[in-house]
Amino acid sequence: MVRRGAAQSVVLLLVGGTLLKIALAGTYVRYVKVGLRGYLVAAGAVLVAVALASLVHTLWTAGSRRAGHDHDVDDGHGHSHRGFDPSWLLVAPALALLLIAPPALGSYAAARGGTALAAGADSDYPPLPDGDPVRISVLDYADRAVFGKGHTLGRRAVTLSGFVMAGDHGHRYLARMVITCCAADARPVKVGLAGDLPPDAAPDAWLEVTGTYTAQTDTDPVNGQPIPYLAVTSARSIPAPAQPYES
Amino acid sequence: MTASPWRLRAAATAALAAVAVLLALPTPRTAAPAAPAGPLTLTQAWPAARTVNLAATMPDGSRFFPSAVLDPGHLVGTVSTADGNHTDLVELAVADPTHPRILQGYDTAAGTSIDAVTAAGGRIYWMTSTPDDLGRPHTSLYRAEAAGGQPRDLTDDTGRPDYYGTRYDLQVADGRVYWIATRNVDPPTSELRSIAVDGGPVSVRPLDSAYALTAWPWLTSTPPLGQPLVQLNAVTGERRTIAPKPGEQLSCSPTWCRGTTSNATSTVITMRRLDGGGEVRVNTDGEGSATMDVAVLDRFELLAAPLGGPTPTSEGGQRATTSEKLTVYDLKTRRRVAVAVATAEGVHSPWLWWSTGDNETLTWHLLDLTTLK
Repeated sequence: MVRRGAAQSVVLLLVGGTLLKIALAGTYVRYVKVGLRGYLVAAGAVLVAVALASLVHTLWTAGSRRAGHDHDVDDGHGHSHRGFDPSWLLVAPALALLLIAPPALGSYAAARGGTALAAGADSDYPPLPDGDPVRISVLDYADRAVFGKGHTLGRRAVTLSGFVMAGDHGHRYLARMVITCCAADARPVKVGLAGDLPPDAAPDAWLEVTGTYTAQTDTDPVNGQPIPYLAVTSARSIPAPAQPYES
Repeated sequence: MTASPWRLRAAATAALAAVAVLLALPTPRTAAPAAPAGPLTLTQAWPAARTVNLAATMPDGSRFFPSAVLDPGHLVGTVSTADGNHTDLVELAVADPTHPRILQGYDTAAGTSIDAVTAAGGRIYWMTSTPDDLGRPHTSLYRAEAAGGQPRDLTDDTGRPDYYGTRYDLQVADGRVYWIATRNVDPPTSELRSIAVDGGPVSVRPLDSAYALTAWPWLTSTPPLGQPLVQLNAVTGERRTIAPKPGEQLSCSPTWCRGTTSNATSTVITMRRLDGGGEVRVNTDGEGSATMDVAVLDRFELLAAPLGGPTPTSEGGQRATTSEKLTVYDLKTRRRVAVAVATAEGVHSPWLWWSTGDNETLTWHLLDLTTLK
C-alpha cells in the first residue's frame, strides 16, 4: 500500500506538472480554449501540491510504520495484493503531451466534420467594423454570408485567416476549427475560395486571404449545410497563429 | 512484501527525477504541413511573395485581360465581350472589379486593336491601330491620368510601330514616350520615335539597322539564327556586339543574354551575362520561354511547359484549353521554382501574371516579383 501510494503521488505529480507546463508554455491552446488557462494553472498547481503532500506523507508514514512493524496487506502467502492500478493510465496522455505535443486539429479533422454555423435564419448582424479590408473571423464571415445573405458584407473587402482544406473536384476551402471548451468538441467552419489560389497552398498551410462576398455557395458533403464562398483578391501564406481555434 | 523506507525513498527520488526530466524537456516542435511533392513551390521558396487574385469574368460574361499594373490595387487591361466584337481598355480596381473605368472602347470587329499599353508616373499610355478603307493601319498614341479624366490623343504621328510583345514596346523614360517604328523593309531599318509625355512634336531618329527597345536607354537588334546581336545605347551611342554560339538564337537585355538552341527533339535555353560569364541552362526538356522579356528584374527567367491532355476545372469537369506549367528560374540563387499551372501568362515588370480556370471561373493571379526575397 505504501508503494502504491507513492506511485500514485508520482503519477499525480506528473499530471499536474504537465498541466502547468502546457499552460505556462502556451501550447494548451491546441487542446482547450484560451480562457481556460487560469483554470489549468490552478488545477495543475493543486495537483502538484496534493501530489507532493501525499508523497511526503507516504514516505513519512512508511518510516513510522517500519518502526511500528507495519506492513503491506498480505494474502497469507507472503504476497501483497497488487493488481493493475488504473491510475497508471494517466501517464499516457501526460507522456503524449510532453513527448509528442500533438498539433492543433487541422484539415484532416475539418474534412471529417460538417461545417458548423452558429446563427439562425433570422439573425440580424451589426454593420462590419471599420477597416479596408476589415479583418473578421471565418465564423463571422460564414454566418453573415449564409444567414445574413451577405447584406452586411456588401462589397466590403474582408480579410480572413485559416488553414487550407482540400475538397472534392479540386475545390479548396479556408477552414477554422471552432471550439466551445476544448478540442474534443471542435467543429470546422469552412469558407470556399472562389478564384483559384496559388497551386502550392497545400492542406494545413495557413493563409490570410482578402476578398469580397460572393453569392456562390457549396454544400458540405458531411452534413449538407451550405458553405459560403469568398471571391479572393489576394492571398498570402502566414505561420500558424498562436491561437488556432475560434470560439 | 514490506518496502524498506530507504528503498522506497530511493525509488521515489528516482521517480521524481524522471518526472522532473520529462517536465524539463523542450516542447516538441510540431511538424509543418508536408511539402507537396515535386519542385520547390512559390510559397516554399518565397514565403513573403505577394500575389493578387482577380476574378476576371464580369457579370455580363465579358472577361478582363491585364495589360499593365498601376499598383497592387489597380490594373489596366482590356475587357472583351463574349462575342469578341467589342473591347474596352479599362482601369480596374482589384477590390471592385465589376465596375471598371472605361478609358476607350473599340469595335474589334472592324479591326481596331490595342497594340501596346504601359503605365508610368500615374499615367497610362497606349497605342491603337484602326484600318482605313484600304486596310492600311492608322495608329494613335493616347494618354490618360490614372486618377481620372478624359484620355488625350497624344499623337497620330507614330510611323509604323513595331511590337515585340515585351513591356518595352512602349516605354516612358526621361519625360518622353518611346517606341520603335519600321523605317525601311529591305534592308530592314528602324527609327526611334518619341514624344514628350505632355505632347508636342514627335522626334524621329533613324537607325542603321532593325532594333527593338529594351530597358532604356538600350536598343537591341533581333538577329536571325546564329548571327551576332547588337545593342545600341540611345543616349551615348555606345554599341555592343554579342556573338552567339553555333546554332544559337540570341536575345539579350542590357545585362543578360538568353541563348536558345533547338534540334528536332529538344530545346536548350541557357542564360549568361553579356560578357559570357555565369552561364547556366535554365530549362528542362519540354520547357520554353514564357515571355519575350529576358531576365526580368535582371534575375528571373520565366519558363513554361505545355501539359498534355485536358485539365480539370474547379467545377469538376474538364476543359480542352491548353495549360502550361509556369516556372521561375532564379538566376541569383540558381534554383527553379514552380509557380502555377496556367492557361495564359504575361509579364509587365515587376509583375508576372497568369490565369487559371476558364469561362466564368477565369481568374488572374498577379505576382509582384519584387517580393521574391
